[in-house]
Amino acid sequence: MFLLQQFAPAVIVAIIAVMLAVGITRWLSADWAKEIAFAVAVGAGYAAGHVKSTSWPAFPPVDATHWLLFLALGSILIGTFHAIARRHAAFLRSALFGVLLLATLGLLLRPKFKLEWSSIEGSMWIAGLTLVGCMVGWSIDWAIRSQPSRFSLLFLLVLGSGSSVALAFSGSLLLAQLAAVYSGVTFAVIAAGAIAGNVPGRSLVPCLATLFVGLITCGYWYADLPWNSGLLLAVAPASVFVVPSKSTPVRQALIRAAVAAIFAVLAVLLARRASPPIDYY
Amino acid sequence: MASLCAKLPTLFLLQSGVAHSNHMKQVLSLFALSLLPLSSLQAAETYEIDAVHSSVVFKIRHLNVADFYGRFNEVTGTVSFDKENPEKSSVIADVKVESVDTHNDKRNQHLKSPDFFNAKQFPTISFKSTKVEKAGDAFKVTGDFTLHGVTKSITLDFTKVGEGKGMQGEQRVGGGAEFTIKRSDYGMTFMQNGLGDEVRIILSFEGVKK
Repeated sequence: MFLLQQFAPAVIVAIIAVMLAVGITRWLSADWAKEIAFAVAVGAGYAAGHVKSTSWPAFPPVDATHWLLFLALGSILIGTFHAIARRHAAFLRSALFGVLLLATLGLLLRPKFKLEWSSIEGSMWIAGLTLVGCMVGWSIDWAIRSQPSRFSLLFLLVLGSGSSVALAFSGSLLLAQLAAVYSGVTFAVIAAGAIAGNVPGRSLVPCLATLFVGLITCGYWYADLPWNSGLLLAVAPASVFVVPSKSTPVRQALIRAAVAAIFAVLAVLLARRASPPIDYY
Repeated sequence: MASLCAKLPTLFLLQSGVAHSNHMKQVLSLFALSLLPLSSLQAAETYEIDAVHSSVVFKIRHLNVADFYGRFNEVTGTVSFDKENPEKSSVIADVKVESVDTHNDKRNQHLKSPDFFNAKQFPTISFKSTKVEKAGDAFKVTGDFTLHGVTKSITLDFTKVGEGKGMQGEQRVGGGAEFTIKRSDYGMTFMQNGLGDEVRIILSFEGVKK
């Protein structure tokens, strides 16, 4: 009950923020304008949930995990560019997304450079994680545009929820709560899309991919998320590529969600196994 | 250094090359003045904090029901104590956040996570004095207290408990202080509904003379 009270406000705030933002798309006719509304919805929705969870942090934040809030807001700009240039400037879109990922990982892991890593070791980590982030972004993008459906992001809702439980077992209720906010935002995009009749666009990719990678990164380096659990969660989005493409869009989305659930459950079990006995909450 | 000090009067006399008594007095006075800072430096004694006989305990309100106590097991640092001129004393102390101990592994893990101390980003809690004043039998120690990456100036009322010889004949001195902080002042704002904002910190240390 205490955990529910702890998690519910942040998730509710995120859902309301996204529902409001997506509701605006009813009054928008241009596709690019609708996509911008989606980008604003996910970025602002996550930011609202983050602030509700922790209060507004100082800028620049002392605690590295609070960069997630500012990066979510920054991703609105990149998402907006994706919406405006959605059929053109593929290279520039990818480059901007890469910059967002590099900034995210650089800022989140800056303390590791100060305390632990040599510049070579740190650069290798950042480069590797940026590649993982690109793969996550590409997977979400593929899921959205290969066979567009209102339920395209269902697999991400499953992975966000799995991450939340795994992070809770890893000792950080805050990161678990932020992952729950992420899931709330994803759920709201699916629900609002279904209500308003909009299919999510690729303007969501920068925010959703960056936050997903950011949460796993924080879980592994600042909480006690086991490496195998984190790795499973990080590679799970790539499972969208192995789903047969001949089925209907809704069926495809459900299969992708089911495959993602296998990864999520395994990640949760590994995090549970690595956790000390839970006997104090 | 000591041999140089011993030779100094001779050097002064040789250089001046005078036998007049008034001149001699001037030279001796100058020499005495030059030794003053040296004598005050020698008066300050340096003690290394003995982690085994020192305690860093904290108290926080849980669910508004009761106060809960925890501790940190690893503390290091030095205390430079000048009996003659207490204002020249100084304290430097570091506490390892990883050593937090609340008698429950899961709770220790939670406290070390980004929810509270974020031990991997901020591995130490530190205190470095900037001013020491004698206040009756106690001392007011002002210094920079760094917790969770945030540094604030605080003043502790430090009370010396006693001094004496240890089991191996080493000189020991000890004392303690208590003070209260608001964890929100240090950016620790999570779970304000479950845990109080005010944290009482109780320090007790024993130092071994170096």
